[in-house]
Amino acid sequence: MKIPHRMWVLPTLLCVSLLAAVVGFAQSSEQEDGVKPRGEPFKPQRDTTPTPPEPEGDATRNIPGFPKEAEVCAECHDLQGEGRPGLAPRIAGLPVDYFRQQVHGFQAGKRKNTTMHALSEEVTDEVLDKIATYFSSRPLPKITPILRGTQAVISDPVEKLAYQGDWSREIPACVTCHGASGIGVGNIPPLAGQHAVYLKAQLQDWKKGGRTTDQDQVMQKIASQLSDEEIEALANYFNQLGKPGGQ
Amino acid sequence: MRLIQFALLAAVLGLTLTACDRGESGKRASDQPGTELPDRQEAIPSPDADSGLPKIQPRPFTEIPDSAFGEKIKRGYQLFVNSQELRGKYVGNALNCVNCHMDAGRRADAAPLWAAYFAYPAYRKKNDKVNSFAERIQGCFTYSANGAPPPADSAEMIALSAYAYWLAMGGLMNHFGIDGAVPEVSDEDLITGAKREDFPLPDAIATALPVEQRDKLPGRGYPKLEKPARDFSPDNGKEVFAKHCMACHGPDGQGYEAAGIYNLPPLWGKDSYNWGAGMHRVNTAAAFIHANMPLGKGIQLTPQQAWDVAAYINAQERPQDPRLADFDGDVQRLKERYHQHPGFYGQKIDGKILGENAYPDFQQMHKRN
Ligand code: HEC
Ligand code: HEC
Ligand code: HEC
Ligand code: HEC
Repeated sequence: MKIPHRMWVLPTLLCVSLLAAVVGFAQSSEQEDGVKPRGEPFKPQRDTTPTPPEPEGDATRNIPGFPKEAEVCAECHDLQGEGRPGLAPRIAGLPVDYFRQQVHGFQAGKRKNTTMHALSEEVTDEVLDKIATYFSSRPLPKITPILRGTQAVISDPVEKLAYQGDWSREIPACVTCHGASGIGVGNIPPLAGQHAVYLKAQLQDWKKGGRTTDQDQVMQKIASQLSDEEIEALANYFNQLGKPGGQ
Repeated sequence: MRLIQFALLAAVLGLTLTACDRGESGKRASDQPGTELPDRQEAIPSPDADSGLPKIQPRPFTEIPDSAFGEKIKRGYQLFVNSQELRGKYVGNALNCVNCHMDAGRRADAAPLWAAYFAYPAYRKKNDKVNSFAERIQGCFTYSANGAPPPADSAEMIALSAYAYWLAMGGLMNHFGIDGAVPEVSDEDLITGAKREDFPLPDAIATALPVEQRDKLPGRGYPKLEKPARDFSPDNGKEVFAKHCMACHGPDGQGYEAAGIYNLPPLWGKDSYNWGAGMHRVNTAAAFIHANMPLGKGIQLTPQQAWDVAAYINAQERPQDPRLADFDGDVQRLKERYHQHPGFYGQKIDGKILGENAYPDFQQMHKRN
């Protein structure tokens, strides 16, 4: 394995952390004796991101509008921001303000992810604007969204949560805010087609209090009402909705 | 500011004016049968939760029967949640009934349909007129949806009434331990509402709920919000808006749209509720916002914040009060007649009289084309 030379933004500490992650990936016990970055105790996560795969060659980077500062991001999130399940989420088509807020969130420790925390610290707001604008403009697979209110009787409990919520637990339907079929709207991120592992991890983070980027704890309150089984099922449900031609 | 005036007025009125719409069958109504502006409504009370009257929960939708009657119920649900299906016909703005009546009209304390169904027909002493359930719904079409009221005998009205009836009856039958499907009733019965002696009801329910009690089901309307400690102020509300509302409703209050639906709905401007709608009154909006906003995280603003932000969103221009035509376009005369409540219609804000630059109401929109 080799750390790609293009990751010039990466601070040494990240390389170290990635190495540590790779070396000790299988044996989580070995991760405990990590290096201390910037005086903070280094706590690699159990599911620390694996090594980014080799880039596919420079030619592909000549896509119009691709800012060179985004190269480091593309190592994990890919050139078009599709991401790879287990490595990094899809960041294509995210609302631009939401994108910025999340990177600020990583910087401020409102989201707990060692890799993204370290990376985000190197990104100035000016650079972030460019990167966010680029990835946000990347297209998402076309799907045919189903509007809320299309169907009254829904027997599948997951689809029911997504389309009608469960107000006895004060859970509004997911699509009320995330838009029809969860395609995203305004400053609210799309769920359709996002990697299931990632969706699940975020809902779990909220449930456990690890993610606090949401204004007024809107998502935290919802996630805290969901069972682990429901989280798993919702993650798979929205992932499936985003398959090209899916609905 | 003239807010002190409002506060005084609010105090005098005891903040009791809570009806959704304030229509009065106007002069111009007669020339267009079926489009008559709905009658002025009595205030919608927030009934005592401890009155001993049943607190009901509608049945799950999976119990909607597979029958022609069941189809009407489902259609009512669809129209209530996706009212944009009726855009241009009966709906003139970007709103859906569900935007203000949470959980598809099922949630207690968010003006639920089941409580409303048993509150009509409502008798109004003042003009000796009785409002049917259909007329009440017509009110929300005319003002909240800035549209044209669907005729009482239209398929849409029958569907919405069937849905409301089914929600109410299923909940009551469960409460009183009555098994079996909700009995079917005729279309004529459906559109009038259940607050009358001759409405077909199982005996147990008819006895437990005498007619004069039927409009008092706990959970009806929006819970009354205590008066603010200091006068409500749009200026202070602006800050509340930026901090707690803007992320979803947009910096300009115009909401956001996905797949052609403003699922994050506009709070003012041409696509929001008009100057005759209940939500334009500061007290009604404050109660709604305090209980329901941010969505899913209600009851976290202080009452003061809720009043202030309600004032802020309602001190912005929106579609015209459709009754203005009856006053020859005189905003001040209309204001005197119909806007004696906490609100900003006809008031000067930032150098402009609200109402004088209003966006077109449904009639005006259609005259233009
Ligand atoms: C080493 C792999 C890796 C690299 C390189 C990387 N990311 Fe990430 N990124 C991740 C992971 C893993 C997550 C999910 C973090 C979590 O679980 O909270 C993530 C999450 C994000 C999110 C949040 C997405 C959402 O939907 O909320 C954004 C935005 C983001 N990254 C932007 C960037 C930017 C900008 C760069 C380049 C400066 C970058 N990432 C580089 C792995 C990476
Ligand atoms: C009241 C509005 C609202 C509702 C209802 C809602 N969400 Fe969210 N959701 C949000 C907002 C706002 C965010 C962005 C939070 C932030 O800024 O960190 C979000 C973010 C998310 C994310 C993180 C996506 C990412 O890219 O990181 C997931 C996953 C999610 N929501 C799942 C759900 C599910 C599942 C439901 C239904 C059970 C649901 N949401 C219902 C408002 C809502
Ligand atoms: C902009 C918000 C809004 C929209 C949109 C809206 N309503 Fe309303 N509705 C209200 C308010 C406010 C009230 C009065 C509640 C109060 O004063 O306590 C009300 C009252 C009602 C009532 C009477 C409730 C009762 O207990 O007497 C019915 C029935 C009703 N609406 C049906 C509808 C229907 C059907 C639609 C869609 C065509 C709709 N509403 C759209 C805000 C709205
Ligand atoms: C997390 C997103 C979110 C936030 C934050 C939020 N709202 Fe809403 N709001 C919604 C959604 C979604 C609806 C429609 C609900 C539905 O259709 O089920 C709504 C409906 C409304 C309505 C009735 C419909 C209309 O357009 O008039 C009003 C009024 C309103 N909100 C005011 C506010 C105010 C004031 C705040 C700040 C205190 C606020 N909202 C904060 C998401 C939000």
